[in-house]
Amino acid sequence: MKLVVFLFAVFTVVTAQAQGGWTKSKGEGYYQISYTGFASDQYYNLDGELLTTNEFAQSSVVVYGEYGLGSNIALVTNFVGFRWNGFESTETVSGIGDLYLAIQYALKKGKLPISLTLGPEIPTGRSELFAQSKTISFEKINLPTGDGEWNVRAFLAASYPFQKLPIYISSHVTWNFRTTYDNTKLSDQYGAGFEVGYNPIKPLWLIAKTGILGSPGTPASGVDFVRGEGTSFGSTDFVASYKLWNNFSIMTGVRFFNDFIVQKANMYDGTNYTFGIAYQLQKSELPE
Amino acid sequence: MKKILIPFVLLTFCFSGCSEDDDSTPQTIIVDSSMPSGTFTPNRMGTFVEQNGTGSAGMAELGTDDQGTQFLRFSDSFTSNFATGTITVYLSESDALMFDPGNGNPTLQIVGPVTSGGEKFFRINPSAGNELDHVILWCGSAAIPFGYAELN
Repeated sequence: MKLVVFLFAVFTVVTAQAQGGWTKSKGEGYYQISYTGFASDQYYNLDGELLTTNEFAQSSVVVYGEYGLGSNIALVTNFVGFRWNGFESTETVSGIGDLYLAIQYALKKGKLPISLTLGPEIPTGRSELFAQSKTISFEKINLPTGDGEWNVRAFLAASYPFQKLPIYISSHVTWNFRTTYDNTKLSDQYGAGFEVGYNPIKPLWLIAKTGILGSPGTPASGVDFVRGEGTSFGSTDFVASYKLWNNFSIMTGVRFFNDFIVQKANMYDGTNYTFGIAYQLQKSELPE
Repeated sequence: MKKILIPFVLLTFCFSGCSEDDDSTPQTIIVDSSMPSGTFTPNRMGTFVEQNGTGSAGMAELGTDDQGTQFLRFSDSFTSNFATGTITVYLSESDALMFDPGNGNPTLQIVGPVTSGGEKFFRINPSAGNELDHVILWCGSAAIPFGYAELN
């Protein structure tokens, strides 16, 4: 069971959000630092039309953590420690990103754990960051490393570990309550997902996930694309994690986008790659 | 709790600030900001057609002032998506830009940047011929069209 919880946490780092039904017990923790990046010239506009643009590249160093504060409550955080944005036609600009800080509450424990995670995403990132064109002196483009607005993310998740198989399944629904940036109300975002984890040999976990992200209503106009206004897509992740020694593990993941359920809109369609190192703080190792 | 905070504090110090790279020198384009002398008289005009959800709207007029100098005017109602960054204005032979730098981009002429809505004047130098019958709003960094107006 611990392994299931451990690997689930690995997976959440790939998606940068908590999505499992398990809640860390008091004194237990999980921490991961990962690097993720993609490059693409395939941009879907707000109407879902595909454009070929100059290539856009984004990469990030992300710190993720869970820490049990009590028997039913844990602290969950996700911090974009550094992010690089740039087009092939511009310089690359960079800075720290936003900080998500949430409380996860165990609504139900046992064989079918259910948890609710709720907390703000604090706009610690650079909300205005202009990249200079390499070709024309007066051209610049805004590529912020944070969306510049306070928002509150809620996750409701449930998990089920099979008793006689080295497999677990999880599903989640999420809602992101967004506020305003530069006097413009940004659209809320909804999401849902399902994942399967498989443990073929003791140190190795393989995880597959599918999910959607969408925005209800009509997106606000005049908002630059990096803030995710009107963004929607489906995604599929494949993640592998291998426990190297003690409580350290390495992981890698790949993400593909699709339009099976919701259309791709306001997003660059490029394969994401993630590499990370994780540390599991187990209760048994805490000082008495 | 210390174990939680230390990684964030370290990262914040390590990565604080903003780094930028710049390994090439962009082409410097001088924009003539002079205004029409006397009355501006439009010869050709068109309405902006929005592209890619940018909200581009308003009128474009190509004409001359009392001294015969050619100007492009955007109407009071002109608007677009300025949050993304610089929008570059071009005169073009078609509603889509066709860059051909190897031959001096013969089918288009760069006009200048626009960063806000409302009335604008751009001096056109050298004067544009009748074959340049479209005004194009172009996000050059991303290579995404924001809108165009056909001049008739």
